[in-house]
Amino acid sequence: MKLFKIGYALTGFLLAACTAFTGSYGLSKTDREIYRRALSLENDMEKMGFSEFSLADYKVRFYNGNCDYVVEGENISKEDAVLDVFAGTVWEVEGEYQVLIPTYEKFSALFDMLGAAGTVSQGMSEGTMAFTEESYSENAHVATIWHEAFHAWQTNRWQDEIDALMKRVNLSAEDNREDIIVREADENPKAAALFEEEMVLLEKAYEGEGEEKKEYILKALSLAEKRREILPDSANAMEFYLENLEGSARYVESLAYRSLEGDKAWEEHYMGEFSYEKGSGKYYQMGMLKGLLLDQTGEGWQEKFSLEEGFDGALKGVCQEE
Amino acid sequence: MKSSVGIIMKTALKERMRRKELYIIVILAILLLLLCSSDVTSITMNGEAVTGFSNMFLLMHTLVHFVGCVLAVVLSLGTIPKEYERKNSHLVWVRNISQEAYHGGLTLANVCASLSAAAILYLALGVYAVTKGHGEVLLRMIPAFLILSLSISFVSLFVSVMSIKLPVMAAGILGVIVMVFGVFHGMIGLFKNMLGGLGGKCMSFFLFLVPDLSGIQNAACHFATGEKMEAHLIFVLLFSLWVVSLGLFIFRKKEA
Repeated sequence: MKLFKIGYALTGFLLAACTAFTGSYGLSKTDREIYRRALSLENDMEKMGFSEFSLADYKVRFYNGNCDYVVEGENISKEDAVLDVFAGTVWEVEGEYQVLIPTYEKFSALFDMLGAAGTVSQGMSEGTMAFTEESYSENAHVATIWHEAFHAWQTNRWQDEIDALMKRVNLSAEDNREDIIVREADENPKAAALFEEEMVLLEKAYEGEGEEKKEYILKALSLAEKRREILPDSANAMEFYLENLEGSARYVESLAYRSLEGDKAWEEHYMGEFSYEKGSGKYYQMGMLKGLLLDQTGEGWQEKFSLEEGFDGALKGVCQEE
Repeated sequence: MKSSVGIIMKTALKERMRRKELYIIVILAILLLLLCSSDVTSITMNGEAVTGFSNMFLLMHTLVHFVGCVLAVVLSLGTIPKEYERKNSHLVWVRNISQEAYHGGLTLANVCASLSAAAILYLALGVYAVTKGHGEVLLRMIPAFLILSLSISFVSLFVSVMSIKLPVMAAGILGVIVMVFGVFHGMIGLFKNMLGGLGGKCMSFFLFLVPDLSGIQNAACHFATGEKMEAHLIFVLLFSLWVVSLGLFIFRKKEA
């Protein structure tokens, strides 16, 4: 019996040792590689414009479901999770904005689960998701980091303007943007029809050349103006926020993806055929498209881009200059 | 001690094999497997049919694991308390057999009965693979079953050990909770991260305590289909089995 007890205890120690020995600790190789790849895009992204924006300025927190791995350059440290939920977002930590993103492994698993629940399909059709669960690759994760880092840059730069915009129409952080958009913009058939028309004109402008391009843009902008007249202030403010802040982040994200995957994959994921869907996704797409139009028409627009005039103001300015 | 455990186990196993629940669930599960594998029934995800051998095999492997774990709860729950109710325990004490040996024997019988039922289901899965022209997985399914059996053994062992100390109902509820958290470990882990707050914290705590049985199921399935698998999960589960088995030495029945 004594021998049995010794053997039993030894088995326990051996199993505990094997468990500890085979476990993987720290940030995975995949996530390190993703971060390294994201940083390697700095030069390409600098050419894009927004010269003051650099991913290297922001710490990236990879959340693995239990804790955050905070990466800054070559340094990686393990810290308590600041949010403890899966989210791609920016968060203020000790006075600075940091990028929060799930680890690639967790994000992929989450995507699989959301895919099984139909959420990805819904997100794809609404435009809030550019990837299916099958196509969400490591490079897509890199692009997502750039998207969130751009939000960190926007928040640093425009927080006062964003607060003022929301305050002007009595919106607070608790107000759900999806609810506002669905209730006040999507439920208005005239506004929805104008949005669709505007998007069609913008797409034609993107394909068009010279004067024709300018005409389409100006027509689209006049439709945007009509929309603003018929929508309540809160919907206008939320649309402006989504189109300019989320749209420009989508623009940055798409360029990061293009840089890694090339034009064909970029077109497939970001330039698909537009169809009107309820919710905020369509503004991401419209904002990105306006950014791309500015690339075609107004070189160096990124340096002048401000929340005072937004994409529409910048496009109008470019067309009038010409 | 060894021989007494063996005799107790053998007797108890014979009795488990006579239980009708075992056959009803196995027959129902095999019917379900056959139904899933037939071309008549199509399983859909996001409105799209799940087709192809690898997808179907994964789906059916998950099903076999789940049913195996349910059977482990059903077959293990209440068997030890019943022995005491029927005063069978007295027949053992008069032979000077220790409680540890007695409980150990009964628990081993529970584990063996659960694994036998799971083996029948796994065999049905093997038949499915062959009928679909993937006989090559058969050989790999043998070690894969050994991996899967760790998960089923854990559920059976846990329920058996808990039933020594807790009333049958409480042991059953706890067993089902542990089984659900284990079998859906990955999914619940993602859900708690989306949930956050106190609910998320409670889930985190349970997930920390319960080994990842879904990971073991995946590892077994990956092994069967020749993909890479993670050894760490297997060691975690072996260690968990060791920890739970300590209950056989710690927990004692008062009625004895």
